[in-house]
Amino acid sequence: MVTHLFMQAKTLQQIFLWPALIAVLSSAGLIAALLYDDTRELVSDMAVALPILIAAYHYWLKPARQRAHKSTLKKTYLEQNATR
Amino acid sequence: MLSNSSIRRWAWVHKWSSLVCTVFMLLLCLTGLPLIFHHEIGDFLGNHIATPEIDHRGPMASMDALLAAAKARQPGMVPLYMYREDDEPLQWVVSMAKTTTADSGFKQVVLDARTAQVLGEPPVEEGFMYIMFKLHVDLFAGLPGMLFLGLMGFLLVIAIISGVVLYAPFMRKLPFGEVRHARGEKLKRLDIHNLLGIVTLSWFFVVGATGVINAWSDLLVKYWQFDQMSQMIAPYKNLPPPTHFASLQQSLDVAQKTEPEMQLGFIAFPGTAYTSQHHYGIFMRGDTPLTKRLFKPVLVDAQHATLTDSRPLPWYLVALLVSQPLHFGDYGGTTLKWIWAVLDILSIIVLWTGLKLWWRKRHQYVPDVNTRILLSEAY
Repeated sequence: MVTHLFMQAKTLQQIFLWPALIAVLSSAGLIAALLYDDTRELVSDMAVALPILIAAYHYWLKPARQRAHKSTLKKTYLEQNATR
Repeated sequence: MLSNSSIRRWAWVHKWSSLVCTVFMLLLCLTGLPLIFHHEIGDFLGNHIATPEIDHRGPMASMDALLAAAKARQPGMVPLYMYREDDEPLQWVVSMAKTTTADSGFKQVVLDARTAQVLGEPPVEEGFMYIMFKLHVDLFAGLPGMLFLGLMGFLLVIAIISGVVLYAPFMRKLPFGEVRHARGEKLKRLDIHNLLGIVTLSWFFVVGATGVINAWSDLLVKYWQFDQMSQMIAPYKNLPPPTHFASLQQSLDVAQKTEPEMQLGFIAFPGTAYTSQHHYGIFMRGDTPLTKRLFKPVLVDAQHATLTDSRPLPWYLVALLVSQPLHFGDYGGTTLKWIWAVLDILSIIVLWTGLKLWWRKRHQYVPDVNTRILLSEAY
């Protein structure tokens, strides 16, 4: 079902919600790693690595999942129409 | 939302600030990549000098014995600095040159801190890593090269800020992180540039800005000399340089007594940039991850081994010392270094896609609207 042909224009808040969150978390990680060097290091490393994980998700994982989703849609469509 | 005319202005700023600095930023990102792992690469190339395992009881060798051993190894040379690497607490390194003001011809003598035995002399000013280092720091052009790269870094910071402003109009009708894989090379490249640019924003900004601060390091130290050192050593102003030197170990003990809570960071020998002609500059440091980078200079009269002055570093050198680890990425473990490397590669992709977007656009002939309307009359 098509709900809309064009995406509604986003507000500035919507545009910068994710970028701001990532920026705050990764800078917090950069500074935390400077202040602590024990087990908390793992947490700060994760925060600094966050941009990499998010970029990898959007570049590889999400399109792959969408493709998989599309092909199952196509399959069910063909199955449903095979009996006609 | 931005008006059309301000979008055009920001686009102009983004285009030109990035175009001017991109080639140099690509060079800095590429040369920076091996520099992240300079320690590991040094070990791999066999430049690392190991500490022998010996059964040693009793005190460490005196600093005077260490210094004498270094001087015996390099006769005719004067010591410049004496310091320890983080991962080899049982070694002291003495860097030496013909004069204290030399800017090439350096030697390093590595000594066993327990026995004052010379362990070796690592190669200095040669090899792959040295070339990477010089290209990254000053393009083999000394202070002017450093300041030039600092200026390029400043343009990068402007390019990042203008890029964030332009991110909004580009993303108005796109969900966050969308990469349009199937809509042609150009849109895909644009989406990758925007996605990677916005997620690596903090890191690239921090590394860029701290790099700019580092480009000023030589001048900041010179200013410190002029600003604070000149006050600390005012009584020595018109004295001739000393010809005989007091015991280094005694001088060190004086410094330790002045700052009992701190430990020795490094020693600057008389005549070098971090001290005066009349003093051992003994730099004490703390031992937490942050304070171990914040030195406190203790100036000890090199002729009499007596305390002259000690005052904390001014804010601009604190800023420099705190900014350094944030640029090098050497303040966490190995994991952080790998993260640094991947983020560095992502930044290279941002620079490259940006450059290619501009390059491709140059080759597109798009007549403006008025011309198009006129041209449509022709057929």
